[in-house]
Amino acid sequence: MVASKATPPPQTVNTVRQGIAAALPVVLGYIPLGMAAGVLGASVGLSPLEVSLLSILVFAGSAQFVFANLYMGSPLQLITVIFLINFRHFLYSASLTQTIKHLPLPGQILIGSQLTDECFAVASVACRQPPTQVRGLFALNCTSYLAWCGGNISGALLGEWVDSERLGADFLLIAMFAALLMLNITADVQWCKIRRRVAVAVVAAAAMAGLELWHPSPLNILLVATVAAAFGLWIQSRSAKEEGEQA
Amino acid sequence: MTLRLEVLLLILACMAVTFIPRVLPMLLFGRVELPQWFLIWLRYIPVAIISALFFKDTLLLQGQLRSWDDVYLTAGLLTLLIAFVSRNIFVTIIGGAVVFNVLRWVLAT
Repeated sequence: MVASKATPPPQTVNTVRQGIAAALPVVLGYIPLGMAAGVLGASVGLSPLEVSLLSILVFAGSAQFVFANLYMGSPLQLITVIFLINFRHFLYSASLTQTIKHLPLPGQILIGSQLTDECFAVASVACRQPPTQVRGLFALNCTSYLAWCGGNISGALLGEWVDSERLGADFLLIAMFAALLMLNITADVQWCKIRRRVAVAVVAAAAMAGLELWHPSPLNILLVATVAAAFGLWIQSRSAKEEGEQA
Repeated sequence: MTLRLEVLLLILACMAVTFIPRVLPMLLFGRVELPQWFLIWLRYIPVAIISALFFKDTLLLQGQLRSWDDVYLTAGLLTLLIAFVSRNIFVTIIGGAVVFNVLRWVLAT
């Protein structure tokens, strides 16, 4: 399972302290974005209590924005859209399971139930070197969760006083993804592995841009990940055949 | 502090449909032996996801390509460079935020 034994990963999440530290980049983005979602919720007539329950029980940023926009309409449409948007977590969970297989099942479920784009991205880089402990990942998730819910609830209470657009809050998470992309790609020492990861990243970026230009949809990410990872599998098995290398 | 019953029911339904995809793979894939090709494929999922999320926000805005002088595009690419050089999450986020705000100020004036 371990991609590389020679270089330690930039961060591990074996202890509570390490989990909290790994969550800090996520927290920086979640507080202002959570506030924005809370402000939106209040502006479409959700009470602060309803916004709070939404963030505590549904913990999915995109779902919260969609909920605020669609909750007055057909319930079936709302539930279907939220299910489809969040179905990408199925892939995250399947991927993460492989690195936390050794953990007890209740611990896995606890960690899985709090998966988000950001927590998954951080965890996938941090878990490169097992043994990962439940408490570290749980601390990573809970810290992010508290930041989101805290931002959300205060956004709902403060209403239009908050102007998170001006802070460039959304760029904080973009910058975090830039760092995680580089850390993910360069976590290996072997040049051929780095090259394959770069190829997968380029295919994913191109496919995402192409699909979004053609037909913007929250499902694109699911399709792109499936195809780009299949491309990675294909080039890896091809080079394994050529060099007789262990796949 | 109001809580409408229909809103509560909607929230609970959304909770259920977001919980299932997050947890189902742990029940399905955690205990069984999976084929080697599937494991290799799964190993490429994180890099594919992270790249798609990053480039979706930097290259595009609501299904349109951003122009070359768009602050998200230029600051995003510069931040990628900072990430490559520093290999550090905090340096990248703080550097990126500085670049973003400076560029936005420059492009606005």
